[in-house]
Amino acid sequence: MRKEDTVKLISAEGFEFVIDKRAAMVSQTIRNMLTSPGSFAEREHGEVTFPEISTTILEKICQYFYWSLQFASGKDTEFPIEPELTLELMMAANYLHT
Amino acid sequence: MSSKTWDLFLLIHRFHLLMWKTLAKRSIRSGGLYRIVYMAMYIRVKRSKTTYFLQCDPTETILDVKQKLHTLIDQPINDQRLILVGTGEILDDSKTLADQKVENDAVVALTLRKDDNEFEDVNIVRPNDDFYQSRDPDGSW
Repeated sequence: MRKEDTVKLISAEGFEFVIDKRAAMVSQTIRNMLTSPGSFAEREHGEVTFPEISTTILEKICQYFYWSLQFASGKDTEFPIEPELTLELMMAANYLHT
Repeated sequence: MSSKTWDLFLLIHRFHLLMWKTLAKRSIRSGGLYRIVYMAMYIRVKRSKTTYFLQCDPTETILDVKQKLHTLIDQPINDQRLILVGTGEILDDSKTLADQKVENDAVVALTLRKDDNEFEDVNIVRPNDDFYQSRDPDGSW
């Protein structure tokens, strides 16, 4: 894995999550940011800041990206979601088109 | 070769071409050939406020993992120490992830060698849990 193949997602509190681009692209919103020509500064730095998403939720989302890739390649496990995170997670998922 | 077999051959050839074109189109639309990525497991390597999600395989050694970290953070392998957070065990370079019961989604702490040649303590900053309450004191959305 090369550094260029990763993307850094930054939460509201400034915590950083370095994940594989292929995982990040599970999100249509992030995919658009990383692949649309020009305009997005995110594409050049490989960093996306989410001032609206808390660290706990962003980590859960990253875990979801990876789970989703594993699920797509045939690994049939459940994705655990703590009840108290559900609302925030749904709002973030809606924003990210995930 | 009779003309009948030749016709059949051409037909099959055309069918193949068509199939490949459709497949290629589909893979371009979905963002490349490898839309479906094979991934056996991943671990979360944490230090300070940063988390690295690393794809790996249970048969990989800790040295392989450190090599991957090296490409991401430019820290020499000898200056990295990995500790399984669940048990507090220092992970051994020569052993595999499976050997040391590092499972999918496991959290591993990364510590680096300090200037005095000792390793720093585990340092993982956790987010403040009441972030949403503090941002929104009256509790309304």
